[in-house]
Amino acid sequence: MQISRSALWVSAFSLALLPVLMSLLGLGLTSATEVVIFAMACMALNVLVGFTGLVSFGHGAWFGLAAYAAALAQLHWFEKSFWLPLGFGLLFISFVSLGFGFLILRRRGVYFSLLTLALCAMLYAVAFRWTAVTGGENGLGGIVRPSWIGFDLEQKFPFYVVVALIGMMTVFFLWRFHRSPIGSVLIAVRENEQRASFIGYETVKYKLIAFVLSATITGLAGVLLLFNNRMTSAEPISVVFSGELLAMLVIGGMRSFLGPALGAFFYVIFRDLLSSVTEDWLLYFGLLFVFFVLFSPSGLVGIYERLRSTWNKKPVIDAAMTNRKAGATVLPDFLIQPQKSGPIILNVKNIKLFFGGIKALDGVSFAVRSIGLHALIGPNGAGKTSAFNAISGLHPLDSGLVYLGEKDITNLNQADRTLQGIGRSFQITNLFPTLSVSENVRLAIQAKTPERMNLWKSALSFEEINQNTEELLAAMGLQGINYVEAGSLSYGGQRLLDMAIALGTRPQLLLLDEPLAGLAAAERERVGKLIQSISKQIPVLLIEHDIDRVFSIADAVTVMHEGKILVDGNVDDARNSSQVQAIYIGSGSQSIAAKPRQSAWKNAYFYLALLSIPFMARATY
Amino acid sequence: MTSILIQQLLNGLLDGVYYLLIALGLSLIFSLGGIVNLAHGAFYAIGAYLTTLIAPHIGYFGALVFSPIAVALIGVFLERYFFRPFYRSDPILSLLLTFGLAMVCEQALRMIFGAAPLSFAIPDSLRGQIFFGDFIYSKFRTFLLAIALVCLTLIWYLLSRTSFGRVVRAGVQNPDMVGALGISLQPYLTAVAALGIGIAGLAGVLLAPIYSIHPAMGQEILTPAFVVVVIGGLGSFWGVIFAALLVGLVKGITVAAGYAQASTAVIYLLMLLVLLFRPRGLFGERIQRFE
Repeated sequence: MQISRSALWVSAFSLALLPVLMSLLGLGLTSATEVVIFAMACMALNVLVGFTGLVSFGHGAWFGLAAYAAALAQLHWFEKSFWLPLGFGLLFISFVSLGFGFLILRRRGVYFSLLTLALCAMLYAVAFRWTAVTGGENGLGGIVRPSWIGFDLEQKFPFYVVVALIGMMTVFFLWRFHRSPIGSVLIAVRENEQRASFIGYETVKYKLIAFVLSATITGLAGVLLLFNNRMTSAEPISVVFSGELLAMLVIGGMRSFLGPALGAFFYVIFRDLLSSVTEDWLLYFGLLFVFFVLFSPSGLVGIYERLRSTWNKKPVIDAAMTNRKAGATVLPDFLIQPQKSGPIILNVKNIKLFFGGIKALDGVSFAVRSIGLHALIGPNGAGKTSAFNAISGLHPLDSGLVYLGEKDITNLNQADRTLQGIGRSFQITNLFPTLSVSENVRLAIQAKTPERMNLWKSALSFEEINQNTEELLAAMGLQGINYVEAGSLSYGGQRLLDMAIALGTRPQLLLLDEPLAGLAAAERERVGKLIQSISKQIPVLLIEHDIDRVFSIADAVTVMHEGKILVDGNVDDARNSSQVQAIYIGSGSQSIAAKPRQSAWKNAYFYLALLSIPFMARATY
Repeated sequence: MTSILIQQLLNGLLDGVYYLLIALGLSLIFSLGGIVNLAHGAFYAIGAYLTTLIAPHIGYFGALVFSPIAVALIGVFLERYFFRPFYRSDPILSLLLTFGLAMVCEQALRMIFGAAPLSFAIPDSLRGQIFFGDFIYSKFRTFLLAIALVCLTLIWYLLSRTSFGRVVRAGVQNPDMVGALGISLQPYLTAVAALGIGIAGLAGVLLAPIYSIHPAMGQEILTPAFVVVVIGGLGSFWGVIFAALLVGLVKGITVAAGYAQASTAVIYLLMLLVLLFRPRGLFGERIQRFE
C-alpha cells in the first residue's frame, strides 16, 4: 500500500495550524518550531526504523554533529549567513554518515542497533572531551539568525515560517521517496532481505542510501535546532537524546508515514506542560514509552486505526485463495529472451563447498544446456540444495568455477548473479510476507529495469512493469488474488508465488527447488506442465523428489549422492544406472539405519534386483 | 616508573573485570532468551544506591551479600512481567522496551536520590595498601579482583559442570528442542535473568566505594559493556572474558601512555577494528535470529 496523497494535505494544514494550537495550549512559537524540527528528525529516523527495519540507537549523533558543523561554519567561515552553514552541515553529515554507514551496515538486526549505540557513545565521548573545538560542557554559543530576503529571522514568527517551509519540503521529498522504486525496495529489505538480494537488488547499496538520507535529514533538523537555540552542545549526541527520538517515534507510530511527527508533537507538549509542574517529567515520558512498547507497538496511530476499525468494520472476504483464477500454461512474451549464449547455459566446474568437516559438495561438475529441463535428483542430503546455493551465490565456494554462458560468475554476489540471469525459487518458501501478491512479483520485475534506482517517481507509475506483472500473475494462476497479503496464502499458493518471483527476474536459467512439494494432485499436474513449457523457452534446473514426474518431463538428469555426481546424462542413463538404483533403495531402507553410511550402499546393492525405482519413488512420499 | 606502569595496567585490568561483571550478565540473558537488556546498567546503579542505603545499618559486608540478592529479586520480577512476553517476538521490540526501562530507572533514581553524585567510603578493614614484595597495590582493589575471580569461577562451574548449566547451554543452542525433550525452559530463563542481573547488582556494590554514584552511571557502564560483548562475540562465555580483559588492558595502556582523555574513545575504536575483521566478534558464532 502506497502512502496516500492526503498525507501532504494533512502536513500542510498541521504546519499552518500548529502555532495556533500551541498558543491555545499556552505554549509559544519556539515550542512550535521545536515540534517541526523534532518531527523532521523523527520522520528521518523512521526511514530506517519503520521502512527499512534497521533500528538506530544513535541517530542523535547525526543531529548533534550537523549542529556542530554548522555552528563552526558560521563562527569561523560564513559569518552572518544562514544557508551556507546549513549547507555545510548537511554536506558534512552526508559524507560522515556515508563512511560510518559503509562500516556498520555490514551488520544486521540487533548487531546493527548495538553498533549505532556504540558509535553514538564514541562520538559523545569525543565531543565532550574535545573542548578546543566543541566547547565541551559549555557548548558553542553566539549563533546568529541573519535576515534573509527581508525576513528578519531573529524574530520568532519569520523563523517559524522558514522552518515550516523547510519541514514541508522535507515531507514532500520523503513522500516521493517512500513511494518511489527505491522506497519499495527498502520495504522489501525490511520484509525479507535475503529474498530481495535474490531478485537482484544489492541490498547494502539501498540500505546505504536510506542510511545517508536519514542521517542527512536528521542533520538538517539538528542545524535548525542550532539556529532555534542559537547554541549547541554535546547533549544531542548523547544516547539519551537518541532514545528520546526513538521514544517519539514509537509513541507516534513507526509503521506510518506521519506517525513520527505526531509523536514529536506529543513529546514537546508533554515536556513543556509537565516540566513546569515537575522536574521528573522524563520519568513519566519513559513510563509512557514503556507502556506503548508493551501494549501498542504501533503507537498512537495504531490506537487510532484500531478504534476506527471497530467503527467501520471491513467487509468480510473469503479465504485468501478462493478468488483465484486458474492459470494458463503459456509463458508471457516479455520473459522470452533471444538466446545470447552458446549451447551450454550453465557450466559448473569441480566445485567444492565444505561446512567444517562436512563435504556438502565434493568436486561437482556438470553442465546445463541452453534449452530444456534438467533435473537434479538424489536422496536427501545428497547436496542438491547446496549445489543451488553454490550456483546462485548464497555460499561462497571453497574451490571450483561457475560459468553462466561464457561468463565466469564464481566471484559475483547473489544480486549480481540474479542480474546476470540466474533466477531461483526456494525449497522453504521465501516471500515478502506482508506485501501483496502483485507487489511481490512487481518487485522482482522492477529489479531488472533501469527504474529501480529512481527515487522520485511513484513505483506504480511505470506502465511496462505493471503490465508485465499482470501477465506473469495470469500465467502463474495467481490472478484474482493480486491484493491478498502473500503471507496469508495457502502453502501451495506461496509455492506458486515463489516461482513467479523467480520468473519475474527474467532469468536466463531458472533454478527451481522442489516446486511441486506440497501442491495438490491437480495442481502438481498443471505446474509440472507449466515447468515443462517454461523449459521450452528458458532452461530450467529442477530439484524434485517425484521421480516419476521427473523421468516423464526431464530432458537431462544429474544424480547426486553424498556431495558427488553419480550419473550425468539423460533419463535412461539415470533409470538404468545400478548405482542410482542402489542409493534410492539405500535411502530409507533398514540396512542404512543399521550400518555406517559408507558401507550402506554396497549392502543395498544386493537388493536392487528386487525393487524398481518407481516403487521407491512412491515410497518416499 | 615500571611500577606505575604496572599499576596503570592493573587498574586497566580492574576496569576490564568491572566491565566483565556487567557484560557477562548481558551475554547470559541474551544468549538464552534473546533479549538484549539495555536496562542492565540500571541494575548496576541500583546495586550501588542500595549499598549507600543499607551499608550504614548492616555494614559493607552485609550489603555485599544483601544487595545482589535484592537486585536479583528485582530481576525475577522484571523477567516475569517484562521479558516473558517478548521471548518469541521481534528482538527489536525488546530492545526498545529495555531501553525505555533504562530511561525510567535512571529518572527514578534521579527523583529519589537527586542528581548530585553520592560518595561512599571504603570500609576501614579494606583501606590501605598491600605489599607484594616491592610492588604496592590498593588493598580494596585487590579485594575486588579476588571477589570477581571467585564469582567468575562459580559461574563457570555452574554453566559447564552442573546439570543446570547443561540445560542452559542446550537452550542457547536450540530452545525448541529443549522443550521437546520435556524440559520447561521457563524456570531456567528466570534463573538466568536473576543470576545475570544479580551480578550486575554485585558489581554495583563492589564499585560503589571507588567510583562516584550518580543516576547516569548505569547508562555509562552499559555502552562499554556492550562493546565487550560485541568484541567477544554474542553468546560466548570465554569470548566475553577475553574481550573484557582486552578492553581493560587497552584502556590501561592508553592511560599509561599519557592519553587519558582518549581512553573512552579508544575502546570504541577497538570495537570498530574488531568488527571490520571479525564481524561476529572474536569468538562469536552465527545466531540466525539476531541477524
